[in-house]
This record gives sequence, C-alpha cells and structure tokens, in this order.
Amino acid sequence: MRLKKASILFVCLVMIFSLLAACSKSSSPGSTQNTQTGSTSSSGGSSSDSGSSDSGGSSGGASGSGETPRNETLYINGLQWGAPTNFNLLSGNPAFPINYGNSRELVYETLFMINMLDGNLEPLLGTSYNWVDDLTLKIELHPEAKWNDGTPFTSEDVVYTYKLGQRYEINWTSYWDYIQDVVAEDAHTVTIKMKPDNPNRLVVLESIELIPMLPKHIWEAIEEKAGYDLAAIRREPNDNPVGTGPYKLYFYNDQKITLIRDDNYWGQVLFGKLPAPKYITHNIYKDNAAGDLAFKNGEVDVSQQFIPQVWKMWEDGAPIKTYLSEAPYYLPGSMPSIFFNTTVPGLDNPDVRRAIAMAIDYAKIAELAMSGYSAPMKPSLLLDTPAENKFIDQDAIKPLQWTTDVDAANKLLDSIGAERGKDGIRVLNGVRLGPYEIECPYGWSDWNAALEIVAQSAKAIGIEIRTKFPEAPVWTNDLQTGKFDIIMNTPAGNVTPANPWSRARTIMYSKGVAPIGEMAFWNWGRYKNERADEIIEKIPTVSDAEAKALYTELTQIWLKDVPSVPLMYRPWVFYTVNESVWKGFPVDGDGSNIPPQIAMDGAGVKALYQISSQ
Amino acid sequence: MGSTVRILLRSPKFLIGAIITLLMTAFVLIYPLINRADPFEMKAFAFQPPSSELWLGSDNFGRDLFQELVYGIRTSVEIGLIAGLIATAIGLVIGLASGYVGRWVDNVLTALTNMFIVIPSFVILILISVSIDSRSAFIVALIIGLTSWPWTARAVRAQTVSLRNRDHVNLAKISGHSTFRIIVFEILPYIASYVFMAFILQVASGILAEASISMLGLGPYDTISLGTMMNWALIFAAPVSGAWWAFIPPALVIAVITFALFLINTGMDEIFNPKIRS
Amino acid sequence: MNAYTKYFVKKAGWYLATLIVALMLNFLLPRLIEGNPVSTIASQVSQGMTDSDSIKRVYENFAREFGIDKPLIVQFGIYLKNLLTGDLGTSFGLYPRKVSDILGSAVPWTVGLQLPAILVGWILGNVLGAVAAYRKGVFDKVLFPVALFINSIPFFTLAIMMLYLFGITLKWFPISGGYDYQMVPNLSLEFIWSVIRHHTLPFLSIVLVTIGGQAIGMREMAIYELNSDYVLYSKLLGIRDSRVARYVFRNAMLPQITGLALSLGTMIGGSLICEIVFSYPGIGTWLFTAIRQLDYPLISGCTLLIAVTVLLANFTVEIIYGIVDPRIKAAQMEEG
Repeated sequence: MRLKKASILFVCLVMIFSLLAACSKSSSPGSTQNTQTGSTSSSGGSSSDSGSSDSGGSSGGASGSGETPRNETLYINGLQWGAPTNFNLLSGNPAFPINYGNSRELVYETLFMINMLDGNLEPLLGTSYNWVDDLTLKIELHPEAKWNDGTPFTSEDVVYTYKLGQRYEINWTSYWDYIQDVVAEDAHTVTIKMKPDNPNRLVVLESIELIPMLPKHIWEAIEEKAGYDLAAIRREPNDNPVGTGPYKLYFYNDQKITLIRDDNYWGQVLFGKLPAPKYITHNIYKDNAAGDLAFKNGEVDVSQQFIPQVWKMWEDGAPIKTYLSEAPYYLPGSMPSIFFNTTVPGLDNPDVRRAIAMAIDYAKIAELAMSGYSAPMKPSLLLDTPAENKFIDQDAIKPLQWTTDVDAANKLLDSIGAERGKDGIRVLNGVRLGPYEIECPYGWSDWNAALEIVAQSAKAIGIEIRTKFPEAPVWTNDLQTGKFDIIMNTPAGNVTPANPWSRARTIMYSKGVAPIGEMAFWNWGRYKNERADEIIEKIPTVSDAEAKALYTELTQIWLKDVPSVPLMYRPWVFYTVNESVWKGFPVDGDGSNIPPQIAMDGAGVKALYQISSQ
Repeated sequence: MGSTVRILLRSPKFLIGAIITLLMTAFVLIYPLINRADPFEMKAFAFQPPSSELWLGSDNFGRDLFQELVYGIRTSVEIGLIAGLIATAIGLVIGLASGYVGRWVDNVLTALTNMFIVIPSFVILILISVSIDSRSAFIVALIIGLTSWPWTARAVRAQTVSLRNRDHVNLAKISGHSTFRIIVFEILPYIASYVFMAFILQVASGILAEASISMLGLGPYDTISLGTMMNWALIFAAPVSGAWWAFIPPALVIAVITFALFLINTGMDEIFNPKIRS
Repeated sequence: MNAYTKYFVKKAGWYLATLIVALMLNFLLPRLIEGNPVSTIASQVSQGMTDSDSIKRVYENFAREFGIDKPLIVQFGIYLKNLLTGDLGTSFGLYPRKVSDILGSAVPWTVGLQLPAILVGWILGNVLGAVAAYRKGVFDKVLFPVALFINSIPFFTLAIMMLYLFGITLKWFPISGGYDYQMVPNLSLEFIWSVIRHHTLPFLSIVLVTIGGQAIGMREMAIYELNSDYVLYSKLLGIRDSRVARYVFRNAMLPQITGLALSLGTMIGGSLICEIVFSYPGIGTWLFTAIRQLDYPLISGCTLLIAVTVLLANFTVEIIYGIVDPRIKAAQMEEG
C-alpha cells in the first residue's frame, strides 16, 4: 500500500508541475480544418503578453489580462486560425489584421477601396485616379494622410512600397511584369507607367486597391538591419506596426488579438468621424464549431466563418443577419471549379467533359455542400453580379450553357459512340471512362461533400469517378505538377478589378504553363486554345466596351471546350453579423452601398462608421 | 479435435463470443442480398434523425446510415481478417524460426521483434499511411498487418522454445528429418490452438487499428468502413450538431465485435490453459 | 554485482541501437511523402503572382531556406549534427518557430494528462483485478465482462462518446482546449479550476480503458498464482489470508510490470488520439497538424519525442524489473 500512497503523491506532483509549466509558456496548435479555400492560415506561435506602446490618449478599460469593455469592443472570428507568429506583411504568414489579398484597411491601408457591389474603387489614401494616356495612370494622394507615428504619408511611401516588389520576391512582385516605373511627381501625386510591350490596365488597377502601403522610414531601416536579405527581413516580427489605418495593435497572445483605435487617425477628415468601436478583438477558436457556438451566443459580432444552416440561428431568436435576408444569403465572389486534365485519355474529349458537366447535380451541391448559400449555377467565366455582368452578352452564351440533365448527358455520350460495358461503365474508342480520381484537400468539408456528389452524378451516366482527399500540400503538388485526373480549385477567388480577366486567364491561358510533371501555377489541366490565348492577351489593352465582345467570345469557347466546370458560387468573405451589442450593420437594400466585406476590407470598412452600441 | 470442440462449446464465454460473431457475420452477409441499395447513394438531407425509412437516419452526405453500417462492418471485418492473417503469418514464421533454429538467427530476429514492439507501432502506422499515394482497403490491411506482428512472434517463439527440447522433437531430429518437416509436423500441431487464439486477437486489433487510422483521415479512400464513418462524423461536427446516430452506432459496433472476439479468445484460453481456470 | 552490470550494459546497448533505428525511421518516413512541404507557406507568399518564373523562384527560395534542396543523406547528416546540440530544427508550417520551442510548450500538457492517467489506471486496474480474482463469486462474474467490454472500446471511441454525453448533452464539462480561451495563463484559482475542468474528460477516458485492460490481465495472473502450490500449502498451514495475499500480489505483479512496459507504447499512442478528440494542446494535436502540413521537422520532432519517451520508460521498467525479480539476476549469472 506504500506503493499506492507514493504513486498518488507522485501524480499530484506531476500535475502541479505541469500546471506551472503551462502557465509560463502557453501555445496552442493551429487547426487546419477550416473551410476557407486558398488560405490555410494555421500558425501556432509563441505568446507574449505585449501591451501596446501608446494607446492614443484614452486609457482605462484594459486590465492586465487584455480584457476590454464589451460595448466598446467589436469581436470578429474566422480570419485567424492558430496563434499569431508575426505581423510582417512580407513574411508569408502574418497574423490578423495584417493580410494581403483582401484589402484589409485596419492597420495598413490601400490607395483605394474596392466595393464588390458595383466593382468601383473608392478613395482612401488616394483621392482620384485617371489615365492620362494609354500607358500612364496618375494618382492623387490625400494631402492630410499620415502614419500613426505622426509622419506624413507621401508619394515617396507609395513609390517605396511598389519598389519593394521590384527588389524582392514578394506578393506584389508580379505587377512589375507590366509596370515600367512608379514615379513620385510631387509630394501628393504618383504616376504609374506601364511597359509599352506588355501593358495591362486591369492589373495596375488591381494593384492600387490591393497593395497595403508600408512606411518608407520604418522599412528602410528594417531592410538595412537585415542586410537586404529577404529571408532575414521575413523574420522581423513587426509587432508594433506603423500604418496609416485607424487601428493599432494593442494586445495579443495565443487566444486573441486586440486592436485599439488611434484617435489621431487622419481619416477623420475623409469619413467625418472616427470608427465606432474603440477596440477590435479577434478571438482565436480551435475550430469552426467552437467559433459558431460563440457567435450564436453573442460573444462574436462579425463572423467570417462558414456557418451551416445559418437561418436556424435567427429562427431560434438570435439577432443574427446576413447581407441577403433570403437564400442564398451571401453574395457570390468566386466559383470553385473542377479542372480536367486534358491529357488524360477519355477526358481529352470535350464531349465527355460536357457530359460530366451536364450530369452533375448542382442543386444538391448547393444545398448539401454549401448549405444553400449558392445561387443556382449558371455556368460562365463571369460571375452573375452587377460588377461583372456588364462584360457579357447573356443572350449570346445562353444556348451553350449546360444545366443538370442526366438524360441529355447520356444521349450525348451515346451519340459519340461511348457504349456501356458490362459493369455499366462506358468505353469510348477502346478507352474505359474510368476510374478517374477527383481530388481536393482532406478536411475541407464543403469541397469534400461536393466531390462526393460529383462522383455519384457521374455514376449515373456511366463514368467512374473516385474521390481522393489527400493532405493539402500533397493536393497542391498534384495540382501544380498535373498529377491528377480531375482536381478541384478556385480560380482567382478574389474580388478585384482584374476579374473576370484574371479568372479567365487562370482557367484558359496556356503560355507559361510548364508541361505535365513540372510546376504550373495556372491552367493546371494544360488546356490549349490559341484563340483563347489571343483574346486573353488582348482584353487588358482595350476599353471596357470593347472588352464585352471579347469576353463573350471567350466564354463561348469555354462553354464549348469545357476545360473546367464551376460547381458552386462561394462568397468572397462570409459576412454574418450578430446585432446583440452592435447595431446598424449594412444589409442589402439599406441604400448605404456598403458592401458585405466584414466591416474591415475595402469599402466594407465604412460599416465601422455606421454601427453603434448601446 | 472433436473433443476439443465439445469442450469449447461448454465454455460460456466462448459460446457467447462465437454466437455474437456468427450472428453479426450472417447478418452483414445476408442483408445486402435482400436490400440491394447502394450505400453511397445520397438520398436524404444531411443528419436526419432515425425514422421509419432511414432506420439510423442519414449521415452528413445524406446517405442511409443503416446501409452504410452494414457495409462498413463488412469492410472493417475484412480488413481485420486480412491484417490478422498477414500479422499471424509473419509472426508465426519469425517466431518458429527464431524459437527453433536458435543461435544467431534467434538473436537477430528477437532484436528485430523487440525493436518493433518498443517503437510505437501506431506512429509508424501513421507515417506509412501518410506517405502512400493511394490507399485502398487492401493496402490499409497490408500496412496494419505489417506493423502488428511482433506480439505473435514473441508468443510463438516462447512456445517453440519450450517445445524444442521435448522428446518427440528430439526423436524426429535423430531420425534425420529436415528442419522444415520437424517444425511443421512436430511443433506446429502443439501450438496450433495457441496460434489460433493469437489470430483472433490479431483480427480484433486489426479492426481497432483500422478504426483508429481511418478516424484520423488516413484510412482507405472512397470506402465505407466503421472508421471512415466516424471520421466523416467528426469532420462534419456531428457531436456538436447532436447527430448521435452518425457516430455512436459505429462506435458501439466496433466495441461489440472486438468484445465478442476477446470473449472467444478468453474462452479458449481457459480451456487450453488449465492453470487459469477459476 | 558483475552479472547485474552486464545485464544493465546489455540492455543499455540494445536500447541505444533501437534509438538509432527509430531516428532513421523518424527522419526517413515523413520525407517519403509525396508533396511539397514548402507549398503551404510558398503559396501564401506567391498569392497574386502571375509569372511562372517568379513563383518558381519563391518555391526554390523557401526550399533552400528549409534545407530540403540537398540530397537526403546530407540532410540526415545535418539532422543528426543538430540533434547532438539539442536543435530539433525549424518548423516549416509555423516558420520561423523552432521545433523545440513548440514541443516544449506542448509536453507539459501531454505529460500532465497521460502520466497520471496511465498510472492511476494501472494501479486501479490491478487492484480491481486482484480483488476480483481473490473474491471470486458475483464480483468477479460482473467485473470481468464489464472490464473486457470497456477494453474493447478504443480510446478515442470512448473519448468521443464521453465528449458527446458529458460535454455536449449534459454540458457538465467543456468540450475543447486546455483551458478557457478567454483566460490568460496565470496562477489564479480560476485558471487552475479551468485547467482541471478541461482535464477531466480526457483523463477519465484514458483511465477507464486502462483499468479495463489491466484488470483483466491482473485477474488472470492472480488466478494463476492463487491456484499454485505454495498458496494452497500456506492455506493448509493456516497462514493468515492477508500474508498470503501479499506474496500472491507481489508475484502476480511482476508480469504486470513487464506488461506495463510493453503496452506503454500503445497507451501513449492511444492517448495521443484522445488529445485530438478533445483539442487538447498536447503533442498529439501538434503531430497531426504537422502531418497535415507536411512539416517534416515537426513530425520528426514529435515522433522522436514519443519514441524516446517510450524507450526511456521501457528501459526504466526493465531496470526496475531486473532489480526486483531475483530470477533475472540468476539467469544473467547463468548465461554469464
């Protein structure tokens, strides 16, 4: 029995020890099971209870544990999975709110704000832009803009930020394929000159609403300290970022990230006042389920998470809203699609691809996989939104668009001579149509469900498709090297002025695509059509009105050749709000023209000036 | 042989275990012949509770869970059987070789066996599963079999060593019979019952291993097994949605099958190992 | 104690050899996975790029930074060299955090969960098994099937069921994490209470299954001992039950200790999966995050840690066993 007592004592000691150890250093592993396509940002990190330096004048409210008053804090979730490691835009994995690709305007700001409702670029750091000639874009900057350390924001910062992309391989380096030079004409004017042999207005317009502006006086010093070596620059944590935006970093650990409003924010002259929330906090949840539960209970105000059957929440009485009050509840921003490997026997036949496209039960995908958040699928290269609709002649493409019609699909396959074998699978010219493997990353539940439906749909027309859900890096590798039969991915999933051109290019452009076995970064199915390449090269050089005819022709080619099949519409960002503390969030039809961009991206940030708490 | 069976039948534990196993096997073999529905078919909304049409409700894909359960049991047991066979076969060969031949063969094989026991096989199982490109049910069974043989090897070796110096073995040796003949005819029959028990245990642990590995998402692609059913339930957050029918039935079935197999094993153990008869 | 030293040295040498094999497997197996570990971070950095060559350069830069552009043998050499200085490498997925840093924060949670659970389960299981063997009758008849049934349930299955029953339906316990997400780790009573609440369900699920397994084994061994000659003789001699029980217990324990050593590996493995189910911030959760991201250094680090722990535990148990069981000493001297 001594043994027993001794062991109990030992157990207690171990528990105490582990508690102490846990207190000193706490970190939680990130969860990769998110349904956010494209960015699997999961990073565990160290915890450092770093308070802020200067809280802009008003104190109080923040205790040692980083607690802030509920009615002064806006809570958001769905943008950060896993503890923050750094706040450095050049690192490749910065934490909330530092982000490239969504035009986040909280700490760093972009020159202009994108509004997904009409596709316009609204003024922020830049007041206006215009094309002075075919190759030159002139941008006027706001004379009162300044950094949160007091230094004025000038054209030098713009030039510096752009040129960072020239010196180092970072997110905006590729703009320099089309840009010749960025020049500071005077303190508040910048001109961007395009290359005469490779001009592309769309991409340049994308750059002015996408690239966050970095302060020259801070980053020049960082560059020098790092010896102008990108690897060293990437290791800079930058945990007190100097930006022009209305918020500064206040507190972070592995459970949450809190921002505090800068009451000296220059943008007061632009918006007429300061944003309403004094603090913005992102709680870091372990997975979707935890975040959804917290959101339903009113602990989170804005949620960027995929919430299945969201209508049940307000039916249960919670003051929850989506941008649209009825299905599909969310505005479309991208079209996750399946890409065919056009070099695989059987799939190299456009009729086979079209038959598969006609067999897929899109309604079931929208309902089962996307929980009803996708409008009925109308296959096209363009989204059916006001921003993109103006580029296409709907009547011209309607006859070519397919719908779910299993009988017609079967007839099509019969007509080309694909006869069913004894096992029910068709054989075309000696090639058995199957088994084809269709893949997407494991754990992306809505995609997993969609592909299961595709596999089942194909069975009905005699084509054997098997699902395969490898780990994300393996899927990425398969995608790039062409080691797949059919693969799912989102082409150009962001809302930018470069869309729909960017999307069309990603799906159909064949130049610069390495052969199967080497890495390719678009057109992974290795589709080739010379006329399509021509059109894609031409569109950025013509006016919007001329582009319409080109897009229409391109879409017709796409509809005939079917190199990819869009499975569903997906929002750019999920926008669901709980109005139990903060009221006044923008919704469809309220006349505010504030887009559902989670109150912090692009023109969506205007929501922060409209909401109020009790 | 006949008397052995009769003794076995008198053991309540063996009887119960055997009956459960036989009933379950019969059910999963016969039911699909009656109801030819495709378990992969998505016929309902997600996570519908049990009703008169869907006896166990629907899973996250809208599939009939009862149908899936029947197929899943079959797949899991198949994998368990194959894994068990492979593991027992390997363990038998290695155990016999190292136990009978002895000397340096024994040292090498024992070192190898011990190494595999000590290095957590589940970790190796995971690593191998992740690095394989396409996983079918057979491949998963193969991997499980290849990583779980050490127990059997050790046990067989111990038995062989104790039999090595028996009179009839020495007699056969003196008579000039080949090593192979001696092993097969003089040693094997005496450890047959033991090997059979080890086989049962291997099948049980094979089923458990398949369930574990599938639950982590490293199971066979495009297959319905008890483990993959639980895996989908977890990914689609069935517990939080309250859809208990999506994961409790497979979990209980795994427990029942392994329980039945363990019962059979314990029953046999009591018969063949008189010292532990209570 | 020459014979004993020989035993010690032989065992140590063998464990060292096993360690090297484990190292090689730890290193090699993850790298056989087809897929580019660089892609997680490289795809984020190259987001928005349109030129194939520049994107390719991004991938190559990262490959160079991570050191995976060199041949495998060279990488293994560098890995071993770093190991000797205690450097487990830098994580790919959580770049640029060091692996030892990540694991260091996770180990207390795993140890805090598993060590007490396995020990308590082992002790309780053995006690129950011994009592059942001794008492026989109804207690035995009820205990045995129940223990066997619980033992048939895999760790994580019991974990999920408990999660569902106690966490979600009855809401007695929280369903994820090591502590309340709103709190910051400190030594307040509130925090400790939160840790205990989060600790209970995973702890219980491991303990229950371990009890089941141990009870069955112990019961078997105890019955075996109770039927042996010396016990019957002692009873005939009129020696008190409790004295006899002590000898029985000690003799029956020996194989159980060996059993503990051998099943330690399985138990640790099983409880790692438990961590996944409860999102407990221990090594198990990190291992699976690492596998999902093809984070070689982190995978190798986790598996190495697990392997070393199991090896150490086994080694310790075998040494203790060698000291405790006089037959070992005798066998060593015989083989001498």
